[in-house]
Amino acid sequence: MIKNKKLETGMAVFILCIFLTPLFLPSLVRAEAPEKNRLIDKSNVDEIKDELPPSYYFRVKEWGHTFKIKPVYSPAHDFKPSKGYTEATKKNIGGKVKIDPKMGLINYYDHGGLPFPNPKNGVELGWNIRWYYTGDDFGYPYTMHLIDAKGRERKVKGDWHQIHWAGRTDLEPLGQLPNPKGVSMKEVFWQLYPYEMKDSVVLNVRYFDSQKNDDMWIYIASMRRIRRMSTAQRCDSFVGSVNNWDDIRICNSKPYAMTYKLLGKKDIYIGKNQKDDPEYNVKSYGQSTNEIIEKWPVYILEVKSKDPNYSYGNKIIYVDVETSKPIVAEMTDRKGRPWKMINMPQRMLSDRMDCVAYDVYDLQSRCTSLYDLHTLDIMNKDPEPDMFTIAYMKKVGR
Amino acid sequence: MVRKLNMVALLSVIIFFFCLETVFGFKALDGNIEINGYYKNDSAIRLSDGQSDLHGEDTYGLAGTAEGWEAGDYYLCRNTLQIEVAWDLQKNLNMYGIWRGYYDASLDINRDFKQNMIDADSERAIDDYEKDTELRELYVNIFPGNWNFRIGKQQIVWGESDGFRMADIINPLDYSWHYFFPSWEDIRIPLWGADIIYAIPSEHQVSVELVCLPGAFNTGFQPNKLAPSGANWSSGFLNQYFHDALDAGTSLWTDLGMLPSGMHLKDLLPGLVGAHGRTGAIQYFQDSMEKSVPENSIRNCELGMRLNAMLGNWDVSIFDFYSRNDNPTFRKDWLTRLQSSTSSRDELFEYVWLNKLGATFNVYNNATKAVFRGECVYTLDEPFFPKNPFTIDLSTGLFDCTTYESDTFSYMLGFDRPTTIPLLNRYRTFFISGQIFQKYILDYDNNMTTMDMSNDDIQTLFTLLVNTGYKQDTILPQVFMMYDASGEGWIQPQVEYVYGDFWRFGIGANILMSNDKKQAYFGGMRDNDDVYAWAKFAW
Repeated sequence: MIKNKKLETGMAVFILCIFLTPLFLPSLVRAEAPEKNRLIDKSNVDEIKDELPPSYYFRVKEWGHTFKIKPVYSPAHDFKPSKGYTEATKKNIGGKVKIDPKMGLINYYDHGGLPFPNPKNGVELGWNIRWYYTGDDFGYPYTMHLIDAKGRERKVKGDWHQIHWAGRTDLEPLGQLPNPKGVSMKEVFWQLYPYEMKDSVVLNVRYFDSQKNDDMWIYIASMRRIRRMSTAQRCDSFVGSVNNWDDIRICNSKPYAMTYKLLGKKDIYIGKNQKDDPEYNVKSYGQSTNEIIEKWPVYILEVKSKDPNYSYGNKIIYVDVETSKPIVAEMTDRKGRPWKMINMPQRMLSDRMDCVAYDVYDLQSRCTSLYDLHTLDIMNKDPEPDMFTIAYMKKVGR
Repeated sequence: MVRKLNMVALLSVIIFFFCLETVFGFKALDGNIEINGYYKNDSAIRLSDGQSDLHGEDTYGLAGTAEGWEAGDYYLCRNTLQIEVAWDLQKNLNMYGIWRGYYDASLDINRDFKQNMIDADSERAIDDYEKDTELRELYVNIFPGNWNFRIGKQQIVWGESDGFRMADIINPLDYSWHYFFPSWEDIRIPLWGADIIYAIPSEHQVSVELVCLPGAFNTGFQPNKLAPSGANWSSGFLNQYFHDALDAGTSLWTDLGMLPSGMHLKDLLPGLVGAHGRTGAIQYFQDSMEKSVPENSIRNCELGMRLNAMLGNWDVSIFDFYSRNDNPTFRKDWLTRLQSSTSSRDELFEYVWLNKLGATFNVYNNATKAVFRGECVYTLDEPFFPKNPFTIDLSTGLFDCTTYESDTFSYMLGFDRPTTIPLLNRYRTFFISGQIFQKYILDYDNNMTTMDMSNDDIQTLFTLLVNTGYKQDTILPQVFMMYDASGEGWIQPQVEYVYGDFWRFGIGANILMSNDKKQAYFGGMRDNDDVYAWAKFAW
């Protein structure tokens, strides 16, 4: 009898625990959530003001944007550059790569990699930004949402492909493709939408020679003709968006055309390790509604154009220390007032470092340009080099 | 009743497109077929009365049944529906086609416009002028390896110039509804033929291009298309030319005793006088130009070749194009033909064969931050109109129209420079583009005249284009200016507004200036200033 009572009691307690556990479990989860996904809004952004890029603070305070933060460092991600790139980077350790005012980099183009694994100054970091790992080529389709201050939206769709002509580490031929003209990179932009831009193609060619401007041709479908374009005015808007040609991938300028100053290194909240595709509230000045940022060490680099007529006063770039990839940039106008902000959050997968979004905010006019990058950065597709020629533009044009 | 139905249909189409909220390029077959297109309305209003004093008398409406062209006339209400299909059949093989239909409602809005054309004896041309449908382009692209074959009805564009044509010589133009002001993609007349390009693998990006327009079967020669007589853009040159020519001929024949004093050639020559007086003459000649178009035959095959290369920083090409002239000239025996009773009396003109050799270049200059471009064309034996086509061989007493030919050399030099002017636009540069054109008639004769030049042996033109964009390229202002050193000019300001993904609206003006009616481009049309607007829905 006594044995049965003990058994009964034990079973009653056991059953009671089973029923009561769900009541306690959420609180256990809740106890963990504030540490992982803390919502930052107007009411609490001042607490982390010094750990945010100023433009994030501005957007929260002035536009009512919100985002979530992970206050602790994330676990290590899966991404590593390719073996070829890693080996090539090791070759550059010890200052083997030099900078020449005319030729750009010396002792670099035949093997590639990150040119300055331990950058000592802004100029070296500037070159690292140009040559962080993107494979020997990459490309993806994009949709650009042009949103004005009233939330009205237009779309521009395209397909972008870039190929390294030199500094190749992954695909044959390693080093350089046949290169009598000293080409460092070629890229094509195919415009797919809207109707007036459809079937137009831009071909851009960049050279080793830092003092030589890019060459650009545009097949203008409405003219049925290829037109040579001047690339000198790189501060011109890119197809009507908030960003200009130098802002593509945050820092697409010719290194020789800029001055670089390394302001320091700091732990900052940035979107280096986004898990989800971004979602936006277009009516709220293009706010990303599921942005989660976490603390990572970054270099802070100030970039200024040598052109006195350049539209920006300066550009402050937050460069990921680990990958040398720029994640956030903030630009001032010529009077030193905050003007634009670029946010380029990343996703660190095992085989690639994916750019999940490219958001450009005009802090003065409240217009935004949001790039919806449909697919992951497709690296090393090994396109035919002939795809990056004038003759190919004539083939695909109508 | 038909007129009302047409208007109702037009309004229905307009309302339909306004109501559409989401339209997208239709895709089928897993995205291998894409269907796009647009609906567009082009409208224009005259700013001045028509040139009534072209010959001391009214040019139009002699019968008194119409007003002629006046300031405020809503002369253009052209509605265009264009459907485009692109089909990727397989790798290295695709197909492209455009179907287009248009309807100009202005002739239904104002009956006087039709009467103008009736008075000018071009009644039979009204239907085609008012509405039409066509398979505009249809071609197949095959591009294996370094080859590119484009076969079918197409536009082939060469050259570096804007606003005026020099090396862009393959396709004729449709000048009939708004002169050469619309986008040339819309007014080039596509031709059946083959365009074959081979890219030679080399560091200089060399390519060789062969163009063949057979001229046979249903792919025959097409000249430039002019507006029918009495239409708003009927050729000012032809108006002026034929009236002056009739006067010159009358004077000569009177002196030779072949014409009684007080009579005019128009009264003597059969067929030159239309139902409503002398205005019929222009349409008679235009009809004859059409009937003089050569028959479809492989003997009318036109051939062109172009070699392209990158030499250092220079993108250069040389070309040769052997083809018929897109503009007609009088046959030597045209007066004799006019007197005959056979069908040859209708074929008073010919489209002579021309050989055009030329070159183009473009180069980017670091120091000036500008692209420089240029082209030149040497034309062998270019034909010209005689000032007086009513000449007679005094030794035989037979009609003998003197024909004139001369080698000509034309060139264009231009620059493009996007320029930052922060005070005016912080976000966008101003695209500034300037050109100079010159044409030399190497064997000039005072008795010749030409459709595209004033009566000089050298023509010099300057053009300037400036455009930019505001509000994320939703507001696109532009101004284009032209000045001919012989004393004519053209200013075209316009602004375009982009609304959403599908709608575009624009307004602009063509201000034409000429100090002499004889001047070629705008002399006879200098009072054709207009304000134009367009609305376009594209998907």
